[in-house]
Amino acid sequence: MSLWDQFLQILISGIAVGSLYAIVALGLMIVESVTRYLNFLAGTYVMLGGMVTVTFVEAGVPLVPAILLTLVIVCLGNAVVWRVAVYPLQVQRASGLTVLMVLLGVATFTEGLAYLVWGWQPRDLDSFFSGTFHIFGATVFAQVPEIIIVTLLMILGVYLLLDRTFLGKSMRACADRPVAARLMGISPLAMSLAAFTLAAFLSTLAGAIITPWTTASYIMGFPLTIKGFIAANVGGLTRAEGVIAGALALGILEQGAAGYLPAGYKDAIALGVFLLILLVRPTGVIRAHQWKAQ
Amino acid sequence: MESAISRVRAIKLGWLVPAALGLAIILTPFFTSSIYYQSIGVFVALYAIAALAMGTLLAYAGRVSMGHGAFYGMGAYTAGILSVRYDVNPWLALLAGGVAAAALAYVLGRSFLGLIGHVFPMSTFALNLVFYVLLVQVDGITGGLSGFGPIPRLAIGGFIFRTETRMYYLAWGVVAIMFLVFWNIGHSRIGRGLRAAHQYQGGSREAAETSGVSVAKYMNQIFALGAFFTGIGGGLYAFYITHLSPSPFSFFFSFVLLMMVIVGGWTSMWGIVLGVMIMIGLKEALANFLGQFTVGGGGSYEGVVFGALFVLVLLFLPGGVVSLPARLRALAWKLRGAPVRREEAVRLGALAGINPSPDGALQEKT
Repeated sequence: MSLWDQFLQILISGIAVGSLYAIVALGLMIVESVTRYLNFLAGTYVMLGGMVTVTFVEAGVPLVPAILLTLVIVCLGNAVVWRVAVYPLQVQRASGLTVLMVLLGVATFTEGLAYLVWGWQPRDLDSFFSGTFHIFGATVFAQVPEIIIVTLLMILGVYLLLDRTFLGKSMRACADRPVAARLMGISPLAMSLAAFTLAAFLSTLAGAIITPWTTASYIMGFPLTIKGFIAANVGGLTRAEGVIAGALALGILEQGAAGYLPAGYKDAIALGVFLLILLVRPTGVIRAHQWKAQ
Repeated sequence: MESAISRVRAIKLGWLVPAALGLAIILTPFFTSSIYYQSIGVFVALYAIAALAMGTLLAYAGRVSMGHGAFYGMGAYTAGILSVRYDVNPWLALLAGGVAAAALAYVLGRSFLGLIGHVFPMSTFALNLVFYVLLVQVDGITGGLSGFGPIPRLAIGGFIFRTETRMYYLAWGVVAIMFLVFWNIGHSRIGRGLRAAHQYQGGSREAAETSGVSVAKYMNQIFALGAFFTGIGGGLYAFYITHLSPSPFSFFFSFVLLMMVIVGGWTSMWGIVLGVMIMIGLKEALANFLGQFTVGGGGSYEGVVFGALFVLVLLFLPGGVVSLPARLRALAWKLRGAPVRREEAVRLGALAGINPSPDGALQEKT
């Protein structure tokens, strides 16, 4: 395998992993800009998307209905969590830190539950496609184009939702000028629920789509949350293009590092780079956002 | 007249609880000869060191850390590796562990502590994940997943800290030093400056900085000092267990530490120690009680039980167990028909020994 082939291979698998990070990061960005809260469940949705779909498929449900059922279940569960944990805190104007800690608790609870239900073994899933094919000498898993296409469709869908529909415009209004939006009759609470649901929908779908390639296990949620957060922060948090570019860069970097270092280091690479970037320019990468002193 | 009486009673009660707790801690080894209970006592002290560092960071600097497990592990591994592989004197190795953890915290804090929002908690979270991966992967030094040992015991001359009782008093001694140090800091220039800047206690950072308080510097000093003690706690853990493996220093450990702080009540140091006791009691109860009925043992239920409890406490008792007396008193006032104003709640809270944040809830300024 020549150096060029290796580069191409890393690029393609990096884009596939990066598109998962992009979806998680987009969900984080949407919730963050509408509510100022960090949705610690971002990675948990992906884990649930994978595990619940696998459970349905193992029970004999065909793949597409299984994914649809999973989406409904996770979004409903997410709505319950929102009503129980986020709604009262948002009404009380609790600090973002409290919401972060509460959602951390929910994520821990969900992970513990997933461990009790599914055990520690990673689960596999058969997709529409299987096997591998070759592009310019790079060996590509057949699921990879599927992942990239679905991600593109999701991003297009989010764009259309936020740009063309009344709901999307209300959410953006709520993010840009909360007080003015309220005066126009837009309920911040309803928009908060909409943002959380949209994030849950996107990440769950991404989880179901990526499972045939990466397998799913109960433990995958937390690292995904932090990687989505990194991608969103490196990319600027307020602009979707920046977030997506950050996520793709992160995916490619990670796959590249995995090619040269022992596999166990994979998770540490992205986080290490994030810490280094922030250490060097603590405010530089997130300047676009309304971060201010205290 | 009535309020004066209740104030006197409240102050007495406020001193009674810590005094009783302190006496109980000193006397406990005399009442139990069971190694199991004595080792739980040691663990309460070791965890209390890390939890106090986390809680004082929240109380003084208003920052939530999700990565003190990494500082704890840094102290433990530095002390263990130095004393096993390089034959350094255990006491020096212990000190080196604390310094290493403090240095790590100082470098991180310089960049992240000043940032509002989620960057500080998430970067400490990232630190803990990276630290864990490194513990597992750099197996030439750390021994990988299976760890390394045996680590020598601490000793003064011929007096070896071998038994549970000896470690118990050593560890609680460190906790006592932390109480002294942080109590003094709270009543010094640093503590007053930070209180003036504290978002959750009605302060304003802008106002404090305008008055010449170097808020970021003080925050970082508190953070690094806490990390130093956490590192010492980790080192004591290493010399107590005498074998180190990565699993105790995963993110879940930091989560449990955060839970100890919140469940007990971050507004008072005694509350944090109480939180440590509650959580360790719960952990042991889970392991012993559920372990009898289940195949996987009680430990596999920790995630579910702790996660749910954490959410419930944050929603319904955000000030933790120490805020219960103030809450009950406010409830009694309400039942008597007296409207409880915000200032009243603050006063009641202050009498109950908690800082003037109404119920310990982290509230945005409105």
